[in-house]
Amino acid sequence: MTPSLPLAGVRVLDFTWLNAGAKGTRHLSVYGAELIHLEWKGKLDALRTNPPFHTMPEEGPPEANVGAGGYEAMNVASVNRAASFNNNHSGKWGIGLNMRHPKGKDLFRKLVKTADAVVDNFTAATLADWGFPFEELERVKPDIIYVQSPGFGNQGPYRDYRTYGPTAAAIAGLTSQVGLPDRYPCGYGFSFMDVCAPYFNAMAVMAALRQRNRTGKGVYVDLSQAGPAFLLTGTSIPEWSANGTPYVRTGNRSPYSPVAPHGIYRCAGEEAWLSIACSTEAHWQALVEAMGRPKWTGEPRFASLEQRCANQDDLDGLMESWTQDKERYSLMEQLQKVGVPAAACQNTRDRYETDPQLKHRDYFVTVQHSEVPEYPVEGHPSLFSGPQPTPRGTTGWGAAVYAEHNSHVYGELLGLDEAEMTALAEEGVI
Amino acid sequence: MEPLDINGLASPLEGIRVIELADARGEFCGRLLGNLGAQVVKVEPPGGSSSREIGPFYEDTEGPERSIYWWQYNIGKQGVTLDASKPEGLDLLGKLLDTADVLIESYGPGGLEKMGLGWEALHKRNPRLIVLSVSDFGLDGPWSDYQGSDLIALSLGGLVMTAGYPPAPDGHYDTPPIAPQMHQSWHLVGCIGTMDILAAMASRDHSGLGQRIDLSLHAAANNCTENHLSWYMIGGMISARKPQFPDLFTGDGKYMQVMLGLFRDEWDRVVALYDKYDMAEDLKDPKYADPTYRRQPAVREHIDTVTQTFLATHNAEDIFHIAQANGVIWAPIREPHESFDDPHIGPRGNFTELEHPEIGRSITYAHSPWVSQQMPWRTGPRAPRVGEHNDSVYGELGLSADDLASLKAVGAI
Repeated sequence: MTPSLPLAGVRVLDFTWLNAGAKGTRHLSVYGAELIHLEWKGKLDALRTNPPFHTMPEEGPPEANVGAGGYEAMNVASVNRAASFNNNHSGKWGIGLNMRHPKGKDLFRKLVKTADAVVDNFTAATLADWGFPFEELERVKPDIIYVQSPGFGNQGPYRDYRTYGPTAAAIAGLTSQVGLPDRYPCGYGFSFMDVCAPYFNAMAVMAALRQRNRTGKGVYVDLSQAGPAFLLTGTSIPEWSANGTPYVRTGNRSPYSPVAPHGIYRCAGEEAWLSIACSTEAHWQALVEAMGRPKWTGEPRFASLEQRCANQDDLDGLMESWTQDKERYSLMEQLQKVGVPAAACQNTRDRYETDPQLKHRDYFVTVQHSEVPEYPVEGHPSLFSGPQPTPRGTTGWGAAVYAEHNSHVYGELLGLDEAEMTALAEEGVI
Repeated sequence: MEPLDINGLASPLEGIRVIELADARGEFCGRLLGNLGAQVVKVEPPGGSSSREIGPFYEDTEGPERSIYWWQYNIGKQGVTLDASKPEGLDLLGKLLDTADVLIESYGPGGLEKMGLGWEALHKRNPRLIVLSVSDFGLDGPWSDYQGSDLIALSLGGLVMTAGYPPAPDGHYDTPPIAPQMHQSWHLVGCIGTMDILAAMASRDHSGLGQRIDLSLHAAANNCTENHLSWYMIGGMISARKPQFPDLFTGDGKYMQVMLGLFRDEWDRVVALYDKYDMAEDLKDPKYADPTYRRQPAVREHIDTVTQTFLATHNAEDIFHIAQANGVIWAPIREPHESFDDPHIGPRGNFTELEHPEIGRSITYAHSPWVSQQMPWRTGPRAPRVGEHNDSVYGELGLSADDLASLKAVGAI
């Protein structure tokens, strides 16, 4: 028997959208669960209409551009060509379902009967407003798992409040922890909680599957995007509690372990930077050797790790005077070869085009799509000795075009015939 | 073994035993598995783990029993000491692993193999054992022998290059990119490792067999930048440095995570909010509805000025509730402890107090990410002291007090 992926045989009804929802169920799909992604054309995921878009063969290759990126709805020729959406939903089955239509609700009930879990990240009351609070889901399928992730969660006075990734990071204190001590906190350059909340979402579903298998009962998890963020604030909460002191931003310096140099240094070229982190005397000696033992390295103010930590302003300036005319990857390699922790600060192009370690781990996986040419998506960061989790999921394909799998799901799975499906489509149900 | 489940409810990983033979990089994973109900045995060298040297420290005084870092990441674990470089210690480690469902280790490429506990040997010895190997770059590959750290992983993973301050007025950056703090690559490894172990356990339920998982800080950090990789791979877009919010302040001098129209209907809500207070100025002009127009530097500056005027008339916490009540998705830039008394966050179980009898007081920690009657997040007790559970854990393996004394005499525990 060929071994199967870990979650083979698990079926999840997936209402998620944006990154904060869709990335969690994507992990489940990567681990081998069958994800049925339910959408309705009247209110599509905003990421379906957000740039950048796949270039169609007749349009020629995309122009390289450097920008902050961003999310904004565009008038688009097709809702099936957005890069973000097509990464988030890789490997999932896609169907159209109008949850406001009575016949849509009936179809949903039939699907729930066949499913292990239901996942959404709508505002808290949405599924309940459609007639499907956990109690109703449980009535339809007594051992169903329901994990919902509104911004602040379902229980509590902020249940109708909403978040994006930055909102969740702000309220929990993550944003306040990143920045220079003498300036405002710059926070993260992207939506950290759009990536981290989904890890907890996938954990919740997998833990709940285990709990269900043990108890035979359904499991409801009231997750949120903001809730997991507190667990990522490091020692700030116990430090405040124990010592009454807050975390004070230290820029790129190491606040809690003696490490120096510990910084990000300018290299040759525009926006070219190298990180160096010397936590041991051996690191420092190797660095000094690599620099050709310049005179300043022998000065008493840099004689010990303690001294170097105490004189980091001077040290950082001198380090940068050495790095600034050098190419960052050559320098990284030169330093790493002699055992100095050094790293080029990589942008997306570097990570995709150059990083040999990601390539070695086959991190990028090419998938097929019914409308756009085949394209690369991110794979799974870990390597398994058993079958490797894959973004091709159970469809063996990239993201579905809108409602691509209606006949697979409604026909093969629920047993509707062609005429019934045509009628449902005409009535605005599927 | 004394029951650790103080919530009185069985947890999903009840009965699962985790041996954590890892340094700080693997500790968050062990903690999360404990929160899900696993019994986690943290194995330290006889003097204590190197992560006890990471600050901050209780009352700012260093010491192996005073590291708040250690406390935070080892909640709920049982602590034993063991020196695997001694034959007696290695033998004892083998016995521990025979009782384990999961091993979390961070010896790096070839490390376990050198001890005679490589994957093949472990799999033969305990076929159900799941091994999570946490390393800087992975167990093989061109960079596998490179030196890593949290900063190194975040730099290679792309988190660094997107974070920081805008360029100086001349268009050149006068500051480096700014790395996230609080060892986020260790958190990422903890989250991904926990998912992986849950998946491997599901696999084991079918096959009866464990497997080895090779997870690196480098790969974990690369998994983390939203869809930025897809933006490049599909659209050729290289994400540039961008602060999370504009440098504007509220009436009480705090910062606010404002979002000025990510999506189409959002901009309208922001303008409606300003208008409610007669502070929309000219922003109701339809030309502002076009995001391309709003992105022009001079226009953006004008929007920031209008926003600054609005923010300055209220306190941050008031703006939070006013904005959200009007569908505007903003939040104040709080420090983590500023949510302790929040009427929503505290009652959802985001914080918990654990007793530290040795210092005669309790300490507050971050706690449950979710609310669930059927699957509550398990808590505490506080992190173990060095060797605190040697007697109970090794006693269960059948070792007598005399055995333990002789192991101690040779420095094996």
